[in-house]
Amino acid sequence: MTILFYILAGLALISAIAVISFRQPVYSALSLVVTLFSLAGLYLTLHAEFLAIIQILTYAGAILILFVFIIMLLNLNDDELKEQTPALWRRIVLALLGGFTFAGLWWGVSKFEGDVKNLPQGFGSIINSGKLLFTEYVLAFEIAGILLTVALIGALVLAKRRLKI
Amino acid sequence: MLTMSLKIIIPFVLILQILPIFIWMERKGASYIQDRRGPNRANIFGIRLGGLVHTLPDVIKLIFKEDIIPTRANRFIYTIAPFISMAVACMTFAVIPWAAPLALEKGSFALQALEMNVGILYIFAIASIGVYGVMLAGWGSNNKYSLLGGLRASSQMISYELTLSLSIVGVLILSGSLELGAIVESQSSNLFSWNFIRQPLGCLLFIVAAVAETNRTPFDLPEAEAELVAGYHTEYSSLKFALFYMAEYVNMIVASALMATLFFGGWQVPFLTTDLLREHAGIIIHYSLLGMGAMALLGSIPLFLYKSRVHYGDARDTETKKLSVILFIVGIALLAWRAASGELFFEGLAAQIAAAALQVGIFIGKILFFCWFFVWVRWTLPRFRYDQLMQLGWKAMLPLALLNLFVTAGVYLLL
Repeated sequence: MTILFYILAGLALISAIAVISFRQPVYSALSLVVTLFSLAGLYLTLHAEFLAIIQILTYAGAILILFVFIIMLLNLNDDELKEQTPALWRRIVLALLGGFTFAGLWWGVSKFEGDVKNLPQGFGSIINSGKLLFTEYVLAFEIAGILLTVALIGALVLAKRRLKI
Repeated sequence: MLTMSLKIIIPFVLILQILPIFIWMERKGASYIQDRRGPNRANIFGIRLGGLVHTLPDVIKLIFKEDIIPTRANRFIYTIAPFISMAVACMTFAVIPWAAPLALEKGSFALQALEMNVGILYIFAIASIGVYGVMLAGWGSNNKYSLLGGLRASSQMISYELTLSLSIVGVLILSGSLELGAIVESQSSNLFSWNFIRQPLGCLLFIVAAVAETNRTPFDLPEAEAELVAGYHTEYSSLKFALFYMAEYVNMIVASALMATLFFGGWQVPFLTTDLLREHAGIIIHYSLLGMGAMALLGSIPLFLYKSRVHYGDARDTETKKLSVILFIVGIALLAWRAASGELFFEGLAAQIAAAALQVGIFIGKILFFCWFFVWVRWTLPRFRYDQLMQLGWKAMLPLALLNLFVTAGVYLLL
């Protein structure tokens, strides 16, 4: 199990670095697919089958396909993909943001005090995940739902602004 | 470890055996629907089996064709695309149950490679990855027709995936599980409680969406030959093309297996429960072997007397004679063997395995029926226009699938 973790984590890290290093956007998108797959594998080693499958289904199977779709529609030439260096202040802000995120994660993980060895029956199954979503975390779930609806309506309004309906 | 690897390898080999039969069915079915003869030349010592032998030279031809990679194509992506298609097509079979689980002393032994509690979601997740194969093939070929084909395929598959997954939620509510074995179990052996009776609208939507997902006519816009040459696989030749070709058919076999599993009782034999099958397995196998022997014997006589009006002047002329002799020998052998040993009686594990064999047989029969359904639809209906395809997907099928979900949930809550 530990070997599996190192392989998957290593793959996730390498492909995540590849995402930001490739100049060709299609390669970046494909590297992201590899990252998502290795993350799904990590979830599987943590007995979270449902989460792993949903990860592949929504991120790799839907969202990234749309990414690749858009990149293909743009059909960029090689000379349109020149190396760009972002401004210094942008780099500093981004580095700070990344640092904060990492620190937050570190803090969260180090404070975790659960029993990971003895899992309850049916841990990570679809029934238990569903029950948790609709009882304990129902507020967060509904807020996420509203957020997605707002984004959807926003996209529709932006797309239809020039048309008179 | 050994049983696990066998569980993975056996379904894979089974699909690869169904594949040539399906391709033969497609070619022969197309021919008869178009009022022509279809493949009937290739033969081994004059035996053609109605064109079934044709698959063998076809494969040899594909292997030995020159493998061309276009100059400006992206070599890596161009090469990897057919492998993604084929691998994804084969992976989905892991969660499909082939027969009732065997009751061993150590516990029950499921006849499926992977028993996941998210079963059906696994299939959808893997199937959604299949779009990458088509898309990358279209993009990597550096050909505008390929690119258009790839774009069409991806938008179509994303659109119909929604209907495909929504149409089965009704089934999931009724069976209360996402595990395919449990879904088959819940349909029981009673024909009238199979899901195509309980979920007629869901069944219809699923079949239409599955045809669209596999890019078959009337939804084969990604490879519409009148507009796009051959769509995303225009530039492919040799074994890379063969991989796409095989992936298309394996996808259809998976879709057929899913239709059978979700709506038509899977491995359930109509009106014969697993217990009944196990109890009478010996008798059923005995009499079906006797019946097969008698049929082979009776069939060999008209086959021997049959005179073809066509004269080839080679080994093919004596095909019916040779086949009738083989049939005659098989018939005699079966009858003699069965008559000599008397009625079979299986007990314990043997009875379970015999019952499982019957169930696998009926399941493969159902799969082949739906494969034929795909062929039938393809050569009957004309192709949609692109806007019609999108209209149908988003404005007709998606609302209907939602309606089906609400009605099913409401009825289930009230009852």
